[in-house]
Amino acid sequence: MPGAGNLLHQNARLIPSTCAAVSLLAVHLGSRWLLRRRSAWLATMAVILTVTVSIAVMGVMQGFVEVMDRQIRANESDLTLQAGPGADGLEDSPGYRGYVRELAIVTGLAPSIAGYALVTPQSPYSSRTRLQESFPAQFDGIEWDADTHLGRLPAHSLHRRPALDLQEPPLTPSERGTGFLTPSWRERLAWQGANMVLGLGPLPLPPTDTPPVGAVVGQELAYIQGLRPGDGYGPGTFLTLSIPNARGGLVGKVRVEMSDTLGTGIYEVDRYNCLLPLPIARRLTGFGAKEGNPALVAAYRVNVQPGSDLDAAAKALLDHTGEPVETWVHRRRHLAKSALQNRNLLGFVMILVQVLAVFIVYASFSTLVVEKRRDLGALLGIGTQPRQIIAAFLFAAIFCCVGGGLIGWGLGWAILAGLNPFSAATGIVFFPQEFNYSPETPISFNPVVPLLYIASMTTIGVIAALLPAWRASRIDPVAILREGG
Amino acid sequence: MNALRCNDLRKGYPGQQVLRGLNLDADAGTTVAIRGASGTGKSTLLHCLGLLDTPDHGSIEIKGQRGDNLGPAARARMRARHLGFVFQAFHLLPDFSVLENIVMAARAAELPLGPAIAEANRLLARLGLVGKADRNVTTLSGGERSRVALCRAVINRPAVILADEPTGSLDPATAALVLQELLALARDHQAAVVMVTHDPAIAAQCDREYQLVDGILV
Repeated sequence: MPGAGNLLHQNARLIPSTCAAVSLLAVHLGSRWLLRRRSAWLATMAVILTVTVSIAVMGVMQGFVEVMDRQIRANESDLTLQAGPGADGLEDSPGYRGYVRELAIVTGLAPSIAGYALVTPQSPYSSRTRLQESFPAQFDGIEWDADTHLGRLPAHSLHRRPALDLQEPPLTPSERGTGFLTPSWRERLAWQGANMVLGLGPLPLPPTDTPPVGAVVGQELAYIQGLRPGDGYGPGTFLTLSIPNARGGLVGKVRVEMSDTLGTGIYEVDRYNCLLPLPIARRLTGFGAKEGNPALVAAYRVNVQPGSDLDAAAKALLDHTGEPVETWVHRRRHLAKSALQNRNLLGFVMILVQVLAVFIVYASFSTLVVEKRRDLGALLGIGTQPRQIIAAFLFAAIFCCVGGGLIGWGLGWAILAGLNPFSAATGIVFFPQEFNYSPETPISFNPVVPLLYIASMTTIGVIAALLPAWRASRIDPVAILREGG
Repeated sequence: MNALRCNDLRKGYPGQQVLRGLNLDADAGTTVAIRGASGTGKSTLLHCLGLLDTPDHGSIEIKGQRGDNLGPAARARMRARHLGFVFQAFHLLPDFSVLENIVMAARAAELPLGPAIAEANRLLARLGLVGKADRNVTTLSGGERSRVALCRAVINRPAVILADEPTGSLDPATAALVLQELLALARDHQAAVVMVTHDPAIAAQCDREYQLVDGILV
């Protein structure tokens, strides 16, 4: 028999074992099996791999959704005030604008006349229009300053230089254009400035005495319709926009010059659009003042106080003006929803991928039951409750899925963080930039995505471990004990 | 009150009646040896007494409480609290240390761990296993394993210890040592011991000795 000192020494050496023994039996068994058995490692590796792939894929997909949201928001005002049924348009007068602004929540207002017109380009080499190259296009008549004040048409999305390659990123600030300013106007202004400064008197006039106003032609619109610089087109190209009426005549017809701000980079919103100064759009649509009636616009884009409930704000504006009001969510819900649906569909596919891991978890835990059959028989023999055995397996499954999931989370985010640097270093483009107009793959580090996948992995992992756990708890100890050592 | 009492115990398998109205009493602190040829039902009897197997007829009482008619969970609980097992092949858990193997019985019985660890250390010291608490059981010799199994069987201070050939795989010297320890522990803990053995010399050291013949003890 050892002395008291020896026992004390022995107990002191047993502190790590004592600490380990404090945990519940299920935790004790589950964690030990998980750490000591290679089959359990395989299950953990499967979980890590599945969660890593899911998080990496969904991080990019969520990034697309967030970019889409930002681009939609960059083009849309909070609310759009429209003309009611049967009305040609809304009154465009300082009085009416002031009336709308009387509503306290309104912080910004920009008029708009939108519609479709036939666009006919003029040959870059002669003054002849090329009717055979006409195409219909959406136009949007705007007040540049008012829209910019609303936050629409963000400068980072504007292009001056015509782009042949749709994958080109937006231009640097020094290269960007200046709204509706055209080369002809810039030339004329330069002549006038030189005349004023130098006092040279009458000088040869620029090519056109009064250049037509500029139109910002969306980049894809120009590209798809063949208005490519290589074909002689680009800023300075003249376009005729016309809207036919039902009697073979015209509602309106205007001549514009492609601005040196060629287009915008906003996904699916303005890249196929032709932005016109509001007075030109009014002339085109016949919305000008007539016989004592005020000029009209088709709609007003309205911004409200940040953080406002948009539905409540829309109702307040409706009550104030009596005209229909739509929120940006309502106007662009299909575009936003399609992105969300794509993301959710891919998310569902990723959850299905987890089923593969579940098979491995199931197979691994079934193997563990076979491997540990003798131990399980002994445990049941000494009085371990079957529920304790089940709990041990379920704890192992949870530990495997949560632990593996957290490692997968780290690896998934590491992949996401390294994606763009890798792309930049190797020149490998993972995603064509026409989708989001960024030289980089859109990435989201939204923690909801990994948390969701770890939760789903854990849930189905536990379900996968249930059957092996149940089988383990049903082992007949008598049969094991009869088998001997 | 008997620590163990069974009346008219009958157990059979298809085409074979193994136990035929067997009666057995064991008081606290006494030892009972059961001998018999292979296939006479010694292990079946031990499994029935240990509430691992269900008899076809008869009753089994542990400390005056019927155990044979309990549900699986209650039988497991009674097994963990009032019965100690020394299996023929010891059936130690290879993924765990010596101390963890011993304490596993207390965990199964859902007893407080602190006192269980202290008791395990006392038992290890008593059986000469000082310094081996943290070793994995796979690194132990046969004699050491049998003593660890002994510690596991008695750590919960059971009323009855059931031992199935506890020294069958040991050399004579080690077997004698282990048997002495088993009998001493049972005496100190006031536990009844029911031991199945082939060895007449071992059986002779017990308080009572029975032969299992034709399903009854003689």
